[in-house]
Amino acid sequence: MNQLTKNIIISLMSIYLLSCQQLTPIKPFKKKEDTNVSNFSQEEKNRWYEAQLSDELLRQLGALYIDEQANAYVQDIIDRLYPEFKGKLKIRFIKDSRLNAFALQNGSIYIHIGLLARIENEAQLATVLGHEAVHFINKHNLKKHRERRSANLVGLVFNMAGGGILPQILLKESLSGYSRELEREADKYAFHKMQKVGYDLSQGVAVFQKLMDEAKAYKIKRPFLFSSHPKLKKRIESFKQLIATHGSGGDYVGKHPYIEKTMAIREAVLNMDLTLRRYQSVILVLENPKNREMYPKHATYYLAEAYRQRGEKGDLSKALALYLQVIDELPNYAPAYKSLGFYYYKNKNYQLAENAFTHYLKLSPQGQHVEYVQYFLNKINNSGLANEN
Amino acid sequence: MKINTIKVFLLLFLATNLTGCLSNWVKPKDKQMNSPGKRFTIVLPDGWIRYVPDRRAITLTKDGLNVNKMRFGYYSYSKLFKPMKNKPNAKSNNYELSEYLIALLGKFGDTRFAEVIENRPALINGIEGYRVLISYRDEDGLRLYRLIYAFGAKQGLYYAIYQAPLLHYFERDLPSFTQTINSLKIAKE
Repeated sequence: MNQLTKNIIISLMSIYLLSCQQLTPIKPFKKKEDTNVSNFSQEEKNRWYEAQLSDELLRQLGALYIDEQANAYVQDIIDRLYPEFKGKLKIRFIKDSRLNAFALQNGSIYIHIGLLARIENEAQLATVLGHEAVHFINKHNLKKHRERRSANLVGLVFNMAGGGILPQILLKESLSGYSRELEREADKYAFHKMQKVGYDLSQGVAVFQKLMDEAKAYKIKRPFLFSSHPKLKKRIESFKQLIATHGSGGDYVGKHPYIEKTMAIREAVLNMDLTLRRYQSVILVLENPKNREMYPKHATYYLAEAYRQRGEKGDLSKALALYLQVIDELPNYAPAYKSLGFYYYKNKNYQLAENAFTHYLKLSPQGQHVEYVQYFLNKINNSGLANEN
Repeated sequence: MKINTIKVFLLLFLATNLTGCLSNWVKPKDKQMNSPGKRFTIVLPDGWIRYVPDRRAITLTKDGLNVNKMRFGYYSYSKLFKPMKNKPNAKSNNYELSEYLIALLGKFGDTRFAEVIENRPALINGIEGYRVLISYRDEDGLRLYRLIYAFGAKQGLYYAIYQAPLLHYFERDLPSFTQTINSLKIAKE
């Protein structure tokens, strides 16, 4: 027996001995009672404690977005999808305008408000929620953790046996999120749950298509939510295959309740995007007539602000036209006067600026930008600038 | 011979450490301090010391950087707002500059989930600028306040930052910060 063969045998025995506990199969939860921590193996307890710490950290950092009405609505959706786990799957929103959702191994499901803002109806949300819940129920986090450990072990052992490139590939795969198999498993399980509740399953295809179109428009190469998922196209095909095999389910879409319950969240996301100067996102969303109906009338103001921030050729004229449109449609909408005043001031139309600023102060004497408006108004008045126009 | 050389080095090392020559913290004799690049000067407030390794700005603390700190500096627009596609310029007014700064704070690090409590025009020793107050929590849930004064120049931004836990420290040391802000003098553009 040559030296290389001996090394390989030693390596394989080491893997076996070191990973003995990994021979215990991972069984999914069947019901809520299975999720009692006292029933967990040490490995499962470790994942659960990690999840608890993550919950606490997100709360401490102030990352959670609080909207009790919306939260109750979304919680109800997941409870209807998985009644056997009612009380165990907990929905929380994160203050982030990007498209993402994830589940932790203690049943916490986090959704970025950016994703909630992009989704069009309840059936689409159910697709995402249903999928994330499976990661918890089928213990995908635990499986991923084992894969990672195995990859590390294999890497260690292969290096001892003189392996080379294989350990790096295994490590990368295991670190890049759930495997394609697990993602497909999550989609399939969620599909059947949605079918049972009576959702229109074509919305599952629609939500992936929409997110894919948006990722392309924003030039996101690997959409955050799907950075470790099978490519969106493949997910769309996979969902279509499930529909072809099992039917398209019921006809419940839930567009209007969804729009109503998440209206405040959509506006919060617009605000957040503008605050972070993600103006392109605001323009893409609000320039689409299909999206526009999901936003309140004064959302035109946000579009104007996005053009102002972008400041490309023609944008400032667009912004002006939109400010005037908002004022025409909503004469008491104070922020439009403030922005109009800033526009006129920057363009040295001091008389018009003065008029707009004065109007703002009348409508919103305690408004968010009162000090700036007052400051510019004082500059106009103290320097006699308005008389020069 | 060898052992004597080692002893000498050890003695020198101990001597320099004990005398603080290698210390990161300095209480300058002259209270008036020049910024890096000699762009401006400030007067050191009582009880505060300077953190020397920060070569980009004047960083001061009283009870430790994790407790309270002030930072005074200058950044070119291109450097400070490098992550952003559009950057401010000499024509940007203070309202626009404040928007850029708030966007930068919200994009990265520990201020990602910060709340803007205040954003308004302000004077920095007679120079027109703006003031932004944000509140955020660290990983332990401790609420911190960060107060930023800034004003724009032709190619960059002058800034002054004061940060401390809301509990006890922020209000206690705010007068020192205000006093230091009011001592700021621009040396060159």
